[in-house]
Amino acid sequence: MRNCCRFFNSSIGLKITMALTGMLLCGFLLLHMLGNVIILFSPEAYNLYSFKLTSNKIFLYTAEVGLLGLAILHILVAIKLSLHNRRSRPERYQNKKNSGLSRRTWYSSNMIITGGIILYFIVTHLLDFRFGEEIMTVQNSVTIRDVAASVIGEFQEMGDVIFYVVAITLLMFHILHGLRSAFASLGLEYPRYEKSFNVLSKLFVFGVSAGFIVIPIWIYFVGV
Amino acid sequence: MSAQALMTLKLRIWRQKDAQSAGRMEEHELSGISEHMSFLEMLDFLNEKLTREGKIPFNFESDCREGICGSCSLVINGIAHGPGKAKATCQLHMRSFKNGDTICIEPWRAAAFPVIKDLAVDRSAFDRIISAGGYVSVNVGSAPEGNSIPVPKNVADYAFSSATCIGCGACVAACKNASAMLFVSAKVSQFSVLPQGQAERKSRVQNMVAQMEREQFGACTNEAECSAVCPKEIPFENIVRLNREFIRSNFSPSEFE
Repeated sequence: MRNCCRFFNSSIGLKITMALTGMLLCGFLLLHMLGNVIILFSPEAYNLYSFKLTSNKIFLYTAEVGLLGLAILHILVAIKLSLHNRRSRPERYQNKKNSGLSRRTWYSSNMIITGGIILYFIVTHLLDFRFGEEIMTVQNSVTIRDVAASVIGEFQEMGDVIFYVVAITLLMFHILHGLRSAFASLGLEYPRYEKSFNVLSKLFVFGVSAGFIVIPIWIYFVGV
Repeated sequence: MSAQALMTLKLRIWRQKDAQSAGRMEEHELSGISEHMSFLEMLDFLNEKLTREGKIPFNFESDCREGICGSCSLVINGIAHGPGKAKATCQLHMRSFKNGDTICIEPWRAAAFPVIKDLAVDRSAFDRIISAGGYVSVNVGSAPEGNSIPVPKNVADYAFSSATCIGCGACVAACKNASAMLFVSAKVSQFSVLPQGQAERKSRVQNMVAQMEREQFGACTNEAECSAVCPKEIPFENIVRLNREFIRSNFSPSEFE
């Protein structure tokens, strides 16, 4: 147990925690995206999916507590690492440039900022949908929540659509670095598979982001 | 050499009396610089001029001046060891600059590398990391027969490419978190793939990482800025190997511990 604590408290252990929580949250993103796109095909099926997901309270609360735990751990460790890294260079450079030859990008150097904006988005997102107004509807003579109506109502305003798209775009950049970095932190990046792995992780990131982004745009311009 | 080939440069150099004092950038104009001078020769030239004028010369480190010893350590125009790939400061020549350029020269900046004076920093943190585990223990005596422990060629090459790290600290200087992961990973990789390194494989990575943290180096963000400036082009892959070795050393059971 003491070994385990020491492991997760070391800088490599903290990065591994970031990697594991980040990857699990990425897994959630994929499932969430796949569930969400149902609305484009059939709002009724989407309501039914949502009803099935939330009617089993034990499953619902376990999943919610699990996700909340992952998110909190991810955020706390990120703050701890950022503070630690800041202390590692008390006197900044007067003039510092990137070599231009590395993996460094604007988003890889601003993970804490994109992360902060994503956190703000998640809070508003939960207030809108998880804790927002529940419109009820009757489907197949069962009264269930009309989540589709809430979603469609949310994306009638251009401002809301833009906010959502910007947030998902930032999320995309966040996981674009995060996912690759996670594999490196876990020691799973091998030079031999680097190229194909890079393509696969980009497919994942762009696929998940495109799935999320298409929903508000489709609802606003085409309607369901 | 024609007189036209000589350059005049504006130099902005870090001046700091000692570790306790605050530093500042000092500006100097220097003319008569040949493009054939190395960067360090240019600094020697400046120091001679300052000495003649009765001013205090700048303190900077250098030794072999052929890219082997890892003593020279300057951040030039924001890049550790200056522009260009796979070179230490001593291998940088003034032909990389143009007449009239302003060159900004700073020391490595990291909590673990306190400034001693001007451009010279104390890199003994690296020595302490090596003392913590960057070695193999062998019985002293006559040298063993070279071929008694067979090492496949590709493994020997990999170990050797990691072993080329000269410990200059450019990786720390370039990293936005002042992380020493590339240095530690090169030293860990070098031994972990060789049969001679197996006996202390677990304790080595544990002790070296622990020492790295005690020295206040930052954590790795996997951006590979370190590899990009490394004069020996130590690949980022070593850091991934270090992570793997660290996980392995923590979770693989051993009946002797």
